[in-house]
Amino acid sequence: MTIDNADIAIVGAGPAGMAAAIEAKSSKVVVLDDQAMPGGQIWRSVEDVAARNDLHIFGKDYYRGLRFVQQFRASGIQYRQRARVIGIEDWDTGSGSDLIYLHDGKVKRLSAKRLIIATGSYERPTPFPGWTLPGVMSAGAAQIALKTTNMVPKRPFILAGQGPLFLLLASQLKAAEVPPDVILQLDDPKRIKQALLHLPAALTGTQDLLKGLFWRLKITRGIKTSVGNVINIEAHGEKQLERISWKTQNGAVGECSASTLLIHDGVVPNTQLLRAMRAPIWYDNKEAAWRPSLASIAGQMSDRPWIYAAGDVSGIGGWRAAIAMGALAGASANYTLGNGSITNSEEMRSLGRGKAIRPFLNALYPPARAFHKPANSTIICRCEEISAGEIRKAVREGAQGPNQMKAFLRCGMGPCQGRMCADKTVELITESNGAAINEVLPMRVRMPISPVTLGEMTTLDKK
Amino acid sequence: MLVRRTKIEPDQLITFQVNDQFITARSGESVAFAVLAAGVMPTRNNPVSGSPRAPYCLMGICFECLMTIDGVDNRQSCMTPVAEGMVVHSQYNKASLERLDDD
Repeated sequence: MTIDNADIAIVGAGPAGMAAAIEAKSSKVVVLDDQAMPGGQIWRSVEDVAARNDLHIFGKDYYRGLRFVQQFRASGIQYRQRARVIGIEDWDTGSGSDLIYLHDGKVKRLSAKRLIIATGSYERPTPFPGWTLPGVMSAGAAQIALKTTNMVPKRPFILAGQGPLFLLLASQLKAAEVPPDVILQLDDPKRIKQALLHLPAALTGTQDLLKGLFWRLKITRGIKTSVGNVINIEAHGEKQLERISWKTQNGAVGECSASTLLIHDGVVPNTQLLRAMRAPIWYDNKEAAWRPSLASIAGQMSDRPWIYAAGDVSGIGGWRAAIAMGALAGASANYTLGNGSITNSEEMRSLGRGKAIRPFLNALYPPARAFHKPANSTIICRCEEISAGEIRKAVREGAQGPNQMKAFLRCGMGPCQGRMCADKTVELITESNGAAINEVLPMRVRMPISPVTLGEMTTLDKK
Repeated sequence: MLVRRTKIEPDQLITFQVNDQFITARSGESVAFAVLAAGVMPTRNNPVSGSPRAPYCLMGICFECLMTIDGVDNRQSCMTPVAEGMVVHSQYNKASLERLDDD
């Protein structure tokens, strides 16, 4: 049996993972990524999009990704695509860890002295009546379809949401000549007052601010129906989405027929692997999301310094900040193995610029009102079909956290392993029992964190 | 639901089977995209209530796209590249171990 070794193993080939790999390449680096091409979700399929001459649809930042992916490819770093990490061993021993991953139909082991977790983010789950109906998709799904295989939503389609990705997708769909039939803006216009307090800090990230302002001003252009200040949304249909209805803050109601509803309410760190290795995570009220507890600017875990978290998984910051964080983690991991040097002043400046707009965005776009305090009949755990009312009842009966909720209701125990319901479950618990979110233990995740067949599992060598 | 912006290039065109129907796909794309573009609905029923479901996030997070692919239940169709001659079924019931006996 041959043991597959690396000095530094990196999980994720998005901006942070690629930057870490490039920075650390004087060590033996192996990058594992579950998609077919490097780029992460932000630069998903950028090489394919360039090959079919569609880069203009996605804008300048996407084009920058092409150059970065090319630099990563040219660096000679070992990169394994369609390699899905399902677990980790020896995460608490102090002398490196093993990643267990599914690749080519086999479960494999990669032993590394340093680990850099760069698993990015995913869209904040948005429970509302009817969100499990076929035809309702996350806005990110539509963006991925457009990038990877040149598909667009079937009309009539509605885009509902708030935040940077919502505005970006609206502009991309227009550039692809498929503007949404209806746009529902879920943001609270009054939030601008709180957000303006953070404007001076945001000005150091001027390019992001101008870009966002431009998207915001253009959002309704070329759209037949655009509704602002929406506080309630419902999807209706028998076997699939047929119709949606909405209500605004000032009491106006509306409805329309729909084949597709795209929904978006910001992104949250993808902490699944970190939770599985029991890394300490905490709830950041400003970002309204769980983040890992990190001990250094390089992203080292507070309780196991050979494991790093970099990019959006450590707290949402966008691609510019992710590149800086990846480079800082890569340089530190490399240096602690006796290679290279740490000269991180450029990265620190870049990180500052990249994150400058975040306080402004966090104040402007807190989680949308439309998904706050869902009605008792609304499904929260999509896999096990657990409603908000059942969760509230379980709290009254004594469930104190999401881990007890598993025993009470099986909430979070379906195939997605809590990715879609864990955070909302905690929110409902605190809403019902008055606890602060950080007083509730977050949902525990157990390995394997992605499904694997028994046949595949038997291919794993023992250590 | 999704529609293609452009026709599939002839050298990229492949055919595979979904629920006894033959559909075309672009080589390399994931099963979920091809199935959505072909209008196959639902792609599974929730095993608790039987409610209809279809792919939701298309990035491997939500697990709504689970289908039976080449005889194996509970495969994430958004993470599985389509291949010529593949046999895919909507998963209307709970995942089953019985099919494994055939191996």
